[in-house]
Amino acid sequence: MKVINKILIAVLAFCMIFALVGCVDDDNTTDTGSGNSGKIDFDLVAMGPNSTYAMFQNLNKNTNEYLNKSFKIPGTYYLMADGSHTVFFSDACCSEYIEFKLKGVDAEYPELYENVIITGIGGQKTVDGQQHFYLYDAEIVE
Amino acid sequence: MTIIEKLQMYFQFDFVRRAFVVGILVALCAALLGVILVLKRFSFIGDGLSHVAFGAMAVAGVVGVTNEMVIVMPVTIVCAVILLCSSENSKIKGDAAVALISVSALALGYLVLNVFSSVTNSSNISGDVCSALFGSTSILTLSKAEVWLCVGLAVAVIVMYVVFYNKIFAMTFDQNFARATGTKVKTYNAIVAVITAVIIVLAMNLVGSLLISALVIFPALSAMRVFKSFLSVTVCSAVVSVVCAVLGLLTAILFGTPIGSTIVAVDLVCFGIFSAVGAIMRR
Repeated sequence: MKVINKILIAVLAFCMIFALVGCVDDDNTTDTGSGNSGKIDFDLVAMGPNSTYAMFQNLNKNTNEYLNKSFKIPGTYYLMADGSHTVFFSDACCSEYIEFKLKGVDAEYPELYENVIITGIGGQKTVDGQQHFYLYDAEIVE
Repeated sequence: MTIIEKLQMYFQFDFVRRAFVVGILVALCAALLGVILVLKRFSFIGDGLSHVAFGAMAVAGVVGVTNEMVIVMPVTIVCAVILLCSSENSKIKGDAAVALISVSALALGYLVLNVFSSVTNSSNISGDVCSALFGSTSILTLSKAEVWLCVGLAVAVIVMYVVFYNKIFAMTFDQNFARATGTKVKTYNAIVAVITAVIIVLAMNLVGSLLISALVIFPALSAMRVFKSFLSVTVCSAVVSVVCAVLGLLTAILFGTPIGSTIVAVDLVCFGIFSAVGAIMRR
């Protein structure tokens, strides 16, 4: 076999090993999250628009993996018809939203369509028999 | 934040690591397949089968199946077998058959999604369709189970390719000779069809339905500009595909561009470089 083929096969083998090793989750990503300790597990403000939009989709699609983790989320405030408070993100190809509930009974919610940054803890609730992700103990930081 | 700090920030997240794992494996498998399809003049079958997979995905969403692969994979495999195994004997041949099935599946899939929009679990059909067609963010929304499924299927495809390499080589260049030497051509055509379908379904997550052909074709064409032997083209095509997928993913994540289109753009640049290198080598 030619030398170049051996080199290329070695590169491919390295890529495959890298990919398979990458399948293993780190221990610190499977813990119960930082909760109220002040540390943010997922800072979506620091991410690009596509990654932030993908995270919004991940939170709605793979909810179980993000329970009890802390989030910092940018978006636009919107009050849904059913009374739920949401922040939606539309800086990527399309729009996704996350429901949130501010800490405290008489919390003051933003103005409609106001740009906000919200921190909160990932939770899950059942609506019409379906599980939905939402942020609880949320606070408006900006 | 410097680029290195940004990368460190992104790589601490599971969904980014999963995207790279699946991206590398899918790009590798697509490249292996691409060499065969380009040589057999079936380059556009990737497009056709991806549209079939999109249509099947739409039906799966409407029916309410939890795991769409249960419907998408078998339907795509059946269409792949029909297209690749019966092309010689059917009245509608090659590109016409691919076009017929491809366009029909795409149109019917989108029609089904819109007509039955109230039944699907999705609250954002346009977003889902855009992501499925162009692969803008779908690679970043893989669950653990989906990653392990992709890994398992990709490893199976690679193992099958290595095990049946000699037969695949013989059938790619001269099917009649392979048949005359006792090779079960229909069986190996079916194996190639199944591998094609599996890779197309996996690749939809990476680059979307409309851009899959690029992932399959460009690495093979790039390698053919420089190398002449089947083994060299195959190995070079695989390396080019993996490198372009990684560079495309990194660029898209760092600069906020759609992932599928960025990977294809990197493939195109690579094709240009290899064409230039090939032209220089031939002088």
